[in-house]
Amino acid sequence: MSGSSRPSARIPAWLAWRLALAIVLDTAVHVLWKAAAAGLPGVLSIPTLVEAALRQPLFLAVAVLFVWQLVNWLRVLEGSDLSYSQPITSLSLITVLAVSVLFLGESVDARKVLGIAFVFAGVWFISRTAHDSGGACP
Amino acid sequence: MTASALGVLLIIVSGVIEGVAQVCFKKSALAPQAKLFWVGAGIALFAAQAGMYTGGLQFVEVSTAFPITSVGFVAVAVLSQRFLGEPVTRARWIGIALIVIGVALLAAEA
Repeated sequence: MSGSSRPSARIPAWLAWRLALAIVLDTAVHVLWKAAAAGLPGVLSIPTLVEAALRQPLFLAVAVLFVWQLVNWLRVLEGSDLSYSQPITSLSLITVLAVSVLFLGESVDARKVLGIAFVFAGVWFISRTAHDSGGACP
Repeated sequence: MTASALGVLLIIVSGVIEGVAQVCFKKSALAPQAKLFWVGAGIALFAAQAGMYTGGLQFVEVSTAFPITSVGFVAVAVLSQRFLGEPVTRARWIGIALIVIGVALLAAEA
């Protein structure tokens, strides 16, 4: 816990904004990562993979987004419980799936739609729990 | 072991490592005097996780791989309670369980 205020079920505006940004960045990182990984040779030698990755511009984009994601996430953790905020970012499971279907040609069926419903329900449950999120932007 | 099973295994291990990394990041917020140490440890663990995740992505689709990493949610809940003293209530566990079920449904083809 951040220990700066009493636990509450309310989500401060700064935390909602930073969690939304975390979800967007998470989605971008994973979709670009998949696109970048698809261009790598099919071997498991680490030096070969690293060398090939360094030649792949998409990995540079992933690295930049990673840094932004890390900075944003550290701000989230400065003012909220890890066990509260981290599960809420699971909403990126849904956004990654949506982008994968729309832009990478991957498939979605009724079972995956049910899975999405469970993830939504889980995040809703967690968002209703009391948590220590400070109140003001840290 | 099939290529698909190897991919799933790599991604499960990467999810657990990500959970430990998250605890390191939270520690950096709780202990400002050791912030660099905890952020460095978290980044090192994320680098290890990234290698495993990238390897796993060569064998399974991203829409299958990414949900499997949610094993990290369970790791975070357990570690947050044990090492950070956070109140992981019954409602929070129910939420995590629902997410894990959702993940299982999303990844059932792997």
